[in-house]
Amino acid sequence: MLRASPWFLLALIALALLPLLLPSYWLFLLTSMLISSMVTLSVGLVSGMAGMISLGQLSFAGVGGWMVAYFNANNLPIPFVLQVLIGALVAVPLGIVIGLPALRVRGMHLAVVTFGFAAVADLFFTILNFPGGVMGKPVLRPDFLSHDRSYYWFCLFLFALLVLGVNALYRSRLGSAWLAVKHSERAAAAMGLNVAATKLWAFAMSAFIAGLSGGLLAGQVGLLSATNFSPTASLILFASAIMVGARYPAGAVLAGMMAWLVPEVLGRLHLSQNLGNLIFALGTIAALKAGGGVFEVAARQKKPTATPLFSSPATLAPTTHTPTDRVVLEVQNLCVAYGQVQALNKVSFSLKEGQVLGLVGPNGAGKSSLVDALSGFTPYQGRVQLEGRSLEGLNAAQRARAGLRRSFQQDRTITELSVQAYLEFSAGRALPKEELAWALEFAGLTALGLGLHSLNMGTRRRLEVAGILLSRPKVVLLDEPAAGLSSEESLQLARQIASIPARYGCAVILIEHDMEVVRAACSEVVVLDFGSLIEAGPTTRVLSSPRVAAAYLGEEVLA
Amino acid sequence: MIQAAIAGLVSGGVYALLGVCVVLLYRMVGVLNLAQAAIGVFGMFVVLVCYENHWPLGLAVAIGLLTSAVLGGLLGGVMAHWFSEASLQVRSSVTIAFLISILTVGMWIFGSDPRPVPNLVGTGSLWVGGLVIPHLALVILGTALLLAGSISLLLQHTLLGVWLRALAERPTAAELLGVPAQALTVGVWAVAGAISCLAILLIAPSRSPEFPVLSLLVLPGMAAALLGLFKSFSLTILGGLGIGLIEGLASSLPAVAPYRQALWFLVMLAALLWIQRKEVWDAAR
Amino acid sequence: MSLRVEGLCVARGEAVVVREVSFSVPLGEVTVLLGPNGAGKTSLLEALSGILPIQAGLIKLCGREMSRASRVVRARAGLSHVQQGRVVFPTLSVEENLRVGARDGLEEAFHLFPELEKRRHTPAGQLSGGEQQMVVLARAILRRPQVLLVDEMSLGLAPLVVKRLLPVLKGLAEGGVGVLLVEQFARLALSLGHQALVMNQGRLVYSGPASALLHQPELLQWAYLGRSA
Repeated sequence: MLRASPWFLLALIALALLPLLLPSYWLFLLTSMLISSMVTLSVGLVSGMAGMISLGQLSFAGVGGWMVAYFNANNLPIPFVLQVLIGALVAVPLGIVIGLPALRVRGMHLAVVTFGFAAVADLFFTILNFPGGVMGKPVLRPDFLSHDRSYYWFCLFLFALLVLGVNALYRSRLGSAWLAVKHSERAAAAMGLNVAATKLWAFAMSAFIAGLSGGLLAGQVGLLSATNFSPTASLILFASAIMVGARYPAGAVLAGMMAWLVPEVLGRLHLSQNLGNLIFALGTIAALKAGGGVFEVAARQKKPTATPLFSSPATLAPTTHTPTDRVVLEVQNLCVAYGQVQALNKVSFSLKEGQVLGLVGPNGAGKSSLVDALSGFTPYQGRVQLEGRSLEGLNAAQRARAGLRRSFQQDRTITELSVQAYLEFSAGRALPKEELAWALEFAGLTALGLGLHSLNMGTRRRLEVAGILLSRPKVVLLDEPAAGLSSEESLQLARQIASIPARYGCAVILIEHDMEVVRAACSEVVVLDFGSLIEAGPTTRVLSSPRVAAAYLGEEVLA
Repeated sequence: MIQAAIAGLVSGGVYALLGVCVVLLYRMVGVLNLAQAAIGVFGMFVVLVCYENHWPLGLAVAIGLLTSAVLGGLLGGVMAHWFSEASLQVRSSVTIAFLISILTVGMWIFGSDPRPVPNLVGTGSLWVGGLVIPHLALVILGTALLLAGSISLLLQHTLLGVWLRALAERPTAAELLGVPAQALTVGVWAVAGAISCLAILLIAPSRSPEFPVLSLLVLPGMAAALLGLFKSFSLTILGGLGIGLIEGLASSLPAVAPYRQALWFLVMLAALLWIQRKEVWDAAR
Repeated sequence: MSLRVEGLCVARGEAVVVREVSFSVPLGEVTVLLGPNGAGKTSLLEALSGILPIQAGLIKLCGREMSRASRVVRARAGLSHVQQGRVVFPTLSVEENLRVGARDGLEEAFHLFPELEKRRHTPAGQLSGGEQQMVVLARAILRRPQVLLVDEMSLGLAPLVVKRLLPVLKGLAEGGVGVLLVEQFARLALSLGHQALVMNQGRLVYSGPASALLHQPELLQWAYLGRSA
């Protein structure tokens, strides 16, 4: 679905009218700005949205440009528009190849790999030379694009399409998936997401956009050389993307404008154009210090539009389940070892339909290992069955899709998303009004349009639980959902957790330190100590047992 | 073949030296410094300017080393003051901005006209069993080994070394014991800066002495550092020399010779993928 | 002469984990800080030594304002922090671990823990948990601190080792050091302590003589396991 804001349309009309007023020198600058904005957009996609540092985006552009130059130099009968498109498509497989290391290599190491790619590509461009470059045979544009003004309009048209497309993409499930992977790959997989494919899509699409800009550059300047796509230029591009926050298309436009206007203004002031790059560098340092570029900081400070969407809290007709004896999750002889350390030793228990089971134990008892094993993040020995189906051989995302969902101790919500987008992403489907209303009530919210970044921790944690429930799982593992909440908030959360089976028909395992919460939410508990299950049974009885008190307070209590 | 490989020793030794600087900063102060070579290049251009103005070469080199040390120290100060609590990724991204700044200021001050590059060592060579070994290769090799040796001695046998290692392993715990982390950070940056300058001075005569080109030598340096697992100085030196030897060998094969200076990329990629092969998930738990 | 804390608020990320806490740790005494997991004890200690920044409040060490000082400044002013989890420098030998912060010689450490002398050249990462805790404690003592913060020293250690380590703190206090002790072995800790503090949900919920808490087990259970225990 393509949606265009009035601001976007206004800017578009203004940009379309500009060439009628400006001399041709400015037309050239404007075209350059558009092309720079495009390639910045590609950085914003792969680095800003998906969180993978790519310092080689201009090399993808180089490939796009190279293809167009090649078609021209060899007089191949392909229309120019198609040449540009093919150039962009050829950059895609290269993007995927460069993206493959990103499945294991992250952060700065990935930055070094992509920067290395830029240096290598530069070497190739320099040695092989762009086709037509040596002979001085420039890229020829077709008649309808031969005038600089028509070419500018052509670029503007493509850029507008790209912005609309990217905007739609960012609002789609794939966009949310990129943000999810940026925040935490584990949390993304725990939502049933294929992390590897998500990352590769980001590289593929950003390579496409960059390749497109390279083809357009070929059409604009006619003769390309390696200096157009140098590693240094890629660095500056990345820095300016950080500075503006290129995840936002408006940020990309700003970066594109600055790339050409700042040197222009400096030139007119008879100042060195070198100052421009220095300004970019300092701006980048400032953005890194502030924790975000211009548009990111602005988005964070924007006051949320708190318009309540529902006048009356909708009542949801839940699929009611009363506790039965049917086992939904069966854990048998679960063992987890990290090297020599035995984190879990033959733990067996079962979770019945409609049950909220507390899992407690002192620090280091193995609670987190148990959750990681069940949800597919840690290899284990033993058997886990979900409604009779063996889970062995399923990875984390497959387990989530099979109906075993988990939450995380730390806040792993995706702060860039709105409440509604987060809920629908977590649920994996578009949600009808009643279910959204139910989730709002669960989290104590009144509006769907709020950004998650504007919510407090307690609300986010409840929203995380609500999102999980809306995916209609069979079993939910809640890993210390009350961590960091005030006592009133945790007790309220505990009561809500207690009502989950009746309202949503799934069974719950609750890992919790706060005994008040455990008492309020759980009918039964199992107690782990030093990796073994030491007690299981009704909450009140188990928690008052001397063995459990000893595990918590230390041996001397017994003495 | 062997002769060709030996020709790669000069490059390899310089990669090794730069790799040592990268490891030094990565281990001791937790930053992957993309501007490492550029800091050295800046100092080298100061040497060239002094040399052009007929200053004694020794003095020129001393001033160049000092310039790189001061520049490194300044950047280290920025890092220690504003980014001491930031993540490795943010800190390393700051070095991208450093690199852009140094490139810009460097091109601004020194221009892009070619300047004569002095040969610190001379062009003589040694004959060993029918093989020609340039003096330069011997000097670089010696420097690399001397450097690795003295860094090891310093780290193992002085209180300063104990502090640096403590800081590298558990920075917070070291600070809680009163180790002056900021001052040490600046010091490590300064020393690495001076070493980079030396490395760049040694390789400049055999490469095209352009600011951006030489600044990119940080990449093969990082490949060497990767082979040392960002930890071991001796493995880093071996790694750098290894990459140099491969480049040298490749220069005797006409088909790959023009692209030999891209071979480090393959080495780097292979090393990274091997080291990270088990890292299925990111660090965020 | 004491470590004084007034109206301290500390946040970890966006969660406020210590809320308006005020107390003082007199020199020459052991002050025991208790509370369930997640009560904010570790965060409080980390704020005192400068690991976590504070949102509001005052920290004064013997009259000297420390609220905004860096870790190094605080450490050099006489504040020593033994962190949770036996934070040794694993590849440094025992002797090197001790030398990192030592003001003068290492004899005192080997006098307190003779077993370390035999292992002075062993990398600290290869020691047993108990020995590592001795290294960490000795390291902090060699700083000759005025106030020593100790976080969950006994976590994961055998009770015998704990019974050996805790009295060392009592000895330090008798020598004039102020000790703030976070400890899960509540009774043992209280038996050493003069004053006790109990935290829950980031707030200080009890402050008074340690003996009172020691002789009211129901109060103690309440602090750990919640109201209805």
